[in-house]
Amino acid sequence: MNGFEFFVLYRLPYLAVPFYLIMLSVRIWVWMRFYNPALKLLPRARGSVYGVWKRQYRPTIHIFPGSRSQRTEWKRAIKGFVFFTGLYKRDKVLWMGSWSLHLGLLLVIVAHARVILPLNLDLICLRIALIGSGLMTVSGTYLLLRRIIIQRVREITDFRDYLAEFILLSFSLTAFLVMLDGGVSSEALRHYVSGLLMNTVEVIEVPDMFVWHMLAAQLLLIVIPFSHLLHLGGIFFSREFLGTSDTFAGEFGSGLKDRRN
Amino acid sequence: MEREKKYIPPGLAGTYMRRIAESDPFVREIQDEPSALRLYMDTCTKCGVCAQECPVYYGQPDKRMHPVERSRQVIRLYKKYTTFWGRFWNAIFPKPDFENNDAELFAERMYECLTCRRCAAFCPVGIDHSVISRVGRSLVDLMGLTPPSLAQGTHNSFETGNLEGASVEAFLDAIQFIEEELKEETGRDIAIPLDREGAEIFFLPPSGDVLVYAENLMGMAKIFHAIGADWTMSSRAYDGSNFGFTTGNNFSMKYENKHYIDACEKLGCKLMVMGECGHAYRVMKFMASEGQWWGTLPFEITSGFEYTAQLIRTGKLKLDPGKNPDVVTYHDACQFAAGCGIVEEPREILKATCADYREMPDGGYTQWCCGGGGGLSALRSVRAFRMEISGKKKAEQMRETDAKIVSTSCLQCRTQLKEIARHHKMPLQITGVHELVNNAIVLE
Ligand code: SF4
Ligand code: SF4
Repeated sequence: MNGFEFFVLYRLPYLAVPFYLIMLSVRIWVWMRFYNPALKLLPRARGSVYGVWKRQYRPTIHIFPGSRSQRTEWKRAIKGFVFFTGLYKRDKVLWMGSWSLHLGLLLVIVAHARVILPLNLDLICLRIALIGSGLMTVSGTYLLLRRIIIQRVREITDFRDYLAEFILLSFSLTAFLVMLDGGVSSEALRHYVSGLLMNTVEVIEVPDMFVWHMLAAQLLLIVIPFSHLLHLGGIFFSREFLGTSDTFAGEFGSGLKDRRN
Repeated sequence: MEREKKYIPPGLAGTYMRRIAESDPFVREIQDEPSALRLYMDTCTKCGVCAQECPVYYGQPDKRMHPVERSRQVIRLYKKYTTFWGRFWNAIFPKPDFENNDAELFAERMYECLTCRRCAAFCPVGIDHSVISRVGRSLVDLMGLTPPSLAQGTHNSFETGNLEGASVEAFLDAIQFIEEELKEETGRDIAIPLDREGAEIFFLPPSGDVLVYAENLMGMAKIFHAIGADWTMSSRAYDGSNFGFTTGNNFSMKYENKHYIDACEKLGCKLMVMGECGHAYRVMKFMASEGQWWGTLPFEITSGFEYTAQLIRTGKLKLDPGKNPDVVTYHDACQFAAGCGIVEEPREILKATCADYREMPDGGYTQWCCGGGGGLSALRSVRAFRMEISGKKKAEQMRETDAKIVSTSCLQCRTQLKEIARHHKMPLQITGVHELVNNAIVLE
């Protein structure tokens, strides 16, 4: 293991992971300092600190107000969240690109579960990761090209956005190449993670590309809090301001309770 | 010749942004605004969908009109003064508060957003640029750069209780004139009761419906007469509009409501029916009342559309659609459709009162703004912008319909649509919704 590999695999994680967690927590704290939509789900919050927050929940800038049952609202919001139906109805090509990117990311995360599961799921997980990283690479390339080609997107893109997308793309591409190279066994991964946790250096058998993949993954963690990728947490808060599932579902005005009575 | 710039005290923008970040109790009245701003600046995916849907960008697809680019003007100020990194970078590379160090340009740009919220409906992460523009406008207001006619309207509201600054005598004259018109037209004594204590209904039209477009008020008066309603208006609070909402001035937005809340309470009415002004209705119903700015109100609030539509459904009104024989279409006012969810009611009314009703393309919840939203229709200074840029899409849609009459639910849209029709040489008549009820109602 040369100095570069040692730094990327055994030193950078101590910087990148806490940095990411701290920056994200600060953001969430700032968002929650004003408002926490989840609190409306806590009916008995009086007298507690939640009670103070909950009193703040007065959505006064909502859009398309109308009365629906909570159940309908939730159903529509979940459908919108899982399938990006709002975006689908507006821009099918962009939907295809962004939905498959998120699906790919989900598959990659799922494939990593084998590290903590006490089962030998290597074969299936490597396949899942291969599909996931492939999907991410193709759709990430499309999104980056879209950013460069389409005027209304290019106009609002700055250096940080290109950088973030470039790193994201490197992350998925290196993951894909690692998978093509036979992947990394669960055992090697467990050794590596336990080495990190115990601060001991474990020598593991991994493809060369794995080091580059780890570098991209950690750079990604560092840039997320400063780039447009931060929507991964804010979307839930942000949508909630609009006070309705309409925008999420891309179905406007339907499912309202009859106001006629 | 270079124009002379207004003197803006240094540090004013910073103080204001910090005040927002600390959630000043007064700004807090519109609870979500500071937090929404903070969130929006963190969550934009820079996908450009908002620009695709924005009527202003449609009219002039360049960087200046891009919703994200406009919001960035406000967000960079907010960041500069309230976030760690913003302060850090500013200490190393200080930059002026405004682009080209020009506060007037900033003010101009804030008034290039129509606050129509079409972007919010389609943005994948739910960002509402109207909220950000409104924060920008509030700073513009603080710097004394609000366009004069809007500033004058707000001032008049405080001084006289109505935007036009009309005296009580002028109002009483107008009411007398309308009563005479009603008598002449119907042969009946249809009174417009004023300051009647204990009446069931308090009717609150925008002052323009009393002083300029009286047909809407005549329509409402006939409806109340037809069902024998116990109603009244106030001679002191007869302007159901809200310019504070438009200018971003929260103080004024809040107190403009207080005026008519007091009047309704004093008269002891049980129901406030609001006329054809989307801004006032949205602020009153969904912000002041639901947000409990003035505590729990002892009366219900409804719009004239909901009220009339309900009467039509229950068969309490007799209408003759033959009285409106021409093809009629409807333009949804943004504040009623996107802001209040009132979409079906005006259509029900129009279908019952007109012989041939047809939909405007893309009509409904996510309609395109007329181009005069956010107070712009009151600004002569931006007429060219309204006609050629912000109103471009609406002009195209109006041309696409076969309608002879375009009906709409808000005074501001009405003014803008009239100007569009004139400017683009379209032989169209622009009306209010209750104006058509006024034609069609049959009094027995
Ligand atoms: S649509 Fe929303 S997320 Fe996309 S660029 Fe506009 S504001 Fe940002
Ligand atoms: S509120 Fe309307 S005018 Fe303003 S940015 Fe959004 S779509 Fe454009």
